[in-house]
Amino acid sequence: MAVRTDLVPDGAAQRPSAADRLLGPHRGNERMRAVVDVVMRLVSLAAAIVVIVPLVAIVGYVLVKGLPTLTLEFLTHASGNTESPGALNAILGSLQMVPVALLIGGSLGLLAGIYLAEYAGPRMAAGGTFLVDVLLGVPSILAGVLVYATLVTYWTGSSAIAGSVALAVVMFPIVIRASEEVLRLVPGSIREASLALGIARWRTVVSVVVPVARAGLLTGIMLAFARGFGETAPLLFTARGSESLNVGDFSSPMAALPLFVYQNSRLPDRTFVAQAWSAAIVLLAIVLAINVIVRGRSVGSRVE
Amino acid sequence: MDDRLRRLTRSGGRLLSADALFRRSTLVAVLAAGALLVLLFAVLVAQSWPIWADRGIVPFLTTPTWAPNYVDPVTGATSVQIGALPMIVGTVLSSIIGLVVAGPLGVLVAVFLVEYSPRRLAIGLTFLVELIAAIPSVVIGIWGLYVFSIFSRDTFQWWIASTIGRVIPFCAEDPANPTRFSVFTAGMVLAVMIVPMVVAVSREVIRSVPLSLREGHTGMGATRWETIRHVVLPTARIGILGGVMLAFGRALGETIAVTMVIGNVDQVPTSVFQPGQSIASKIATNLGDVTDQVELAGLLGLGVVLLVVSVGLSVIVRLLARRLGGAYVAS
Amino acid sequence: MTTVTDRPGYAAPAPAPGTEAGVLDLRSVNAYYRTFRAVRDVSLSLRPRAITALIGPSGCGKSTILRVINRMHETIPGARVEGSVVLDGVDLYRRDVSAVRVRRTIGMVFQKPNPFPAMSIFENVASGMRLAGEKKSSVLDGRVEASLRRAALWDEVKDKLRQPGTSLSGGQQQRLCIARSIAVEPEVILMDEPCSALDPVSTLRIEELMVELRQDYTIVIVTHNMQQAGRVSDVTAFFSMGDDRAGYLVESGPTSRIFSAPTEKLTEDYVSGRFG
Repeated sequence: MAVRTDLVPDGAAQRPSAADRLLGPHRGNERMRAVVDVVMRLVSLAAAIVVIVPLVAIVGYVLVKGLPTLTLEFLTHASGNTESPGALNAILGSLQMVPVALLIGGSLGLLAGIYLAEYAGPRMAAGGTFLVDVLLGVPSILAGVLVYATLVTYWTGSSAIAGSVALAVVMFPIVIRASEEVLRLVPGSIREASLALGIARWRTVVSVVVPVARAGLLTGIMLAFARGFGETAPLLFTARGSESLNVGDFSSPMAALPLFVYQNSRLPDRTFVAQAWSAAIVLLAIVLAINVIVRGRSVGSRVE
Repeated sequence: MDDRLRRLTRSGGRLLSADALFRRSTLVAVLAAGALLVLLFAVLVAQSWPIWADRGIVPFLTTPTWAPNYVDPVTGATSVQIGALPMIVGTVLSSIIGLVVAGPLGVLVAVFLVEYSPRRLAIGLTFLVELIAAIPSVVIGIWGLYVFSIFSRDTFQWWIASTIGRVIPFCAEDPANPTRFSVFTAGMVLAVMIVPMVVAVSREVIRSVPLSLREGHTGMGATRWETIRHVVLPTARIGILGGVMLAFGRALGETIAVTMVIGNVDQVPTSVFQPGQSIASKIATNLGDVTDQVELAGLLGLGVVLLVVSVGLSVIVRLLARRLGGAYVAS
Repeated sequence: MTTVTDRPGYAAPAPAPGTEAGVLDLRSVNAYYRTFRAVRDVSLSLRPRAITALIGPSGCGKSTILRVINRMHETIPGARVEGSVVLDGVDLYRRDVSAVRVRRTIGMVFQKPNPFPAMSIFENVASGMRLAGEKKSSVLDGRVEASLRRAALWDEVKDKLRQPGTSLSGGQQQRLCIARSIAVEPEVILMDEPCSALDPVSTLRIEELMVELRQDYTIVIVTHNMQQAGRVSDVTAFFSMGDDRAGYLVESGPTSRIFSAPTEKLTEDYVSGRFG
């Protein structure tokens, strides 16, 4: 087959000299390309700044609007106190319901994570991972709806335990995912060393693998706690909130910080709204503090 | 030998060894996760059954009013008009607005973090973006309720309404809406909430585009941006799409922040600046004190819609991930 | 292509006396990664329209030198270059010479074939021309075909130009990458161990292609394979690693001489397989 000479790239003789190409006049779109390159660099920087603005705005406004009413009375009185209402019942409510939820959802999640990482065959593991993906994608309000349509309607009525169960439903897949991922990182050689010593499989998992992964497991559990602490939707028709101080009575309605913020923010009275902002400070402080402590150490590794 | 006997002998005469017991209890936890999903479906479908059986799937999804005691303005006859259409439109519309803003923005931020930013700055920014994701939605909600909605009405809403709003009625201001709450406000608040997710997923997939591809393109005289535009983003597009879908799913189900800014009016909006209602916000505001049995079934029916959509999205993302895996094996 | 603006003060420089047009000159090149010096004081003159092989043990800075030549070195954070690289009388590191232009004039083929997975075979080859703003499909079609013919790949891919470049075999992918780089008509083609990921048959085809391309392009190839250097190159430059772990040039000359009668003991040990 004859080579069509008109198609062959210019031979060396026809090309402009290298010096011409390096130094010669601008050709075509060259200047435009350089400008676009710089512009896009700046645009992406601007995008990064724009994304951070809401964070600063939210934290800033919450502080500005909530600090004036964040008094000692606010932290030590229940919201039913007619003289000077506070948020103590909400704070204590969260501090009761969330740990109970973590106890239920966290322990189940840890066990399921152990199964997926330690025992499941490839197909079962893939199926389990997908199941967790699906559960993570289910909106948290549906956890509240589920508990409302079962536990609340047929058994407990509005109660703290219903709230804890609803939060546990939200935390469950989070803990599975976290523990599964962390346990997979434990090198197989550690398991083999233990099994080779004649230590039973379950002992190996409980006293060798889990302790090796404990820092990561703790991270996952802390983040699940923070997530549960900030959830409002699952509590709306389960724990419902309460004006009075409820310590230890899980069969009655109970207040929670996010519920307090939500409910107070919609009240027509200015002082209640101001209290909603103050409660938002407490909520934000607790949730962000956990996140800062837990994520701060590991963020470098995620950026490279 | 029957099964039971065989099992007994295999486990050394004891009914269950400690090993088997532990293994089974972990398996039970996994099965509990599966049971949870099944239970969710079963309970929601069963308790919303009157809606599907008596009113039918299509009428429920397409009826544009939510009125358990609907009084016909002409005849004065009363009837049950419970339809999901206002909530479906409100949910999808606010989520799309959120995605239109957060999608490109998040991808650009990811590009900045991976391609342009110095390492230290990238670490700081990544940390801050992750913190946004950690803010409880009720806190974003109260900020949206008292701060952002006012800002948004006076800036974004005004700009859009006075430009493209003059041409497209769907973006025009609604003189009948005296509040600052609208589907648009909800969409913008959602954008704030889902942007971290878009950034996180895009960052990972952009980072996984091999250096050899970037160098191949840069080495033939492409600028940095051209390499990003023509090689990095196209190579990462399926993964980015997956991240955007996940973010969309998150937006569809977001409850509290949307409830606080969407306006809570059960109508099919004819402009994005009208108040509306999302599926989640409708459930959140009504489920607690509903007494009418048909309305209760309707609210749980909304829950079924939300569940089906979010599970469907997870399946789609899963399929995308599988395709992504294939693409990487090929390269 | 149309001229948009003339650079003020531009006049095509006359080649320095005694130098042939198109010569690529490395003058006292030092290359660093942050504080680590990877290449020490390399001066080397590369003949145009010839194949120069850079050989030497691993870690001796051959690839770094290659990347210095088309300014790819500086894309790595913390990397920098001292000295100068002069092509056709123009210092590539002059302030008014853009890296983009340098890389268009000096193409590069990498160790691992790297066709762009999101582009078809056609688009892979056309990508460089599109960057330069070429939009006419008649021009693109012709140049893509010509480049693929030149890379001895046309007959194998002419019926599947719309398929992804990654669907080809390894050897074909590498020839696609060569077609991609010659489509923008470079003056110099740099090849960084282009056959190390390929089987012997594919390697042979690439070597034939290099010899064929030598008529029109200055080719610099980094190779670990001394037989390959012996088979294809006209000139061989031997590098080694000093005590400070910086690579330096031991000697260079016609390939036949380097392999038969090297002046340095180190070179002789290396080419005879005694170390490296």
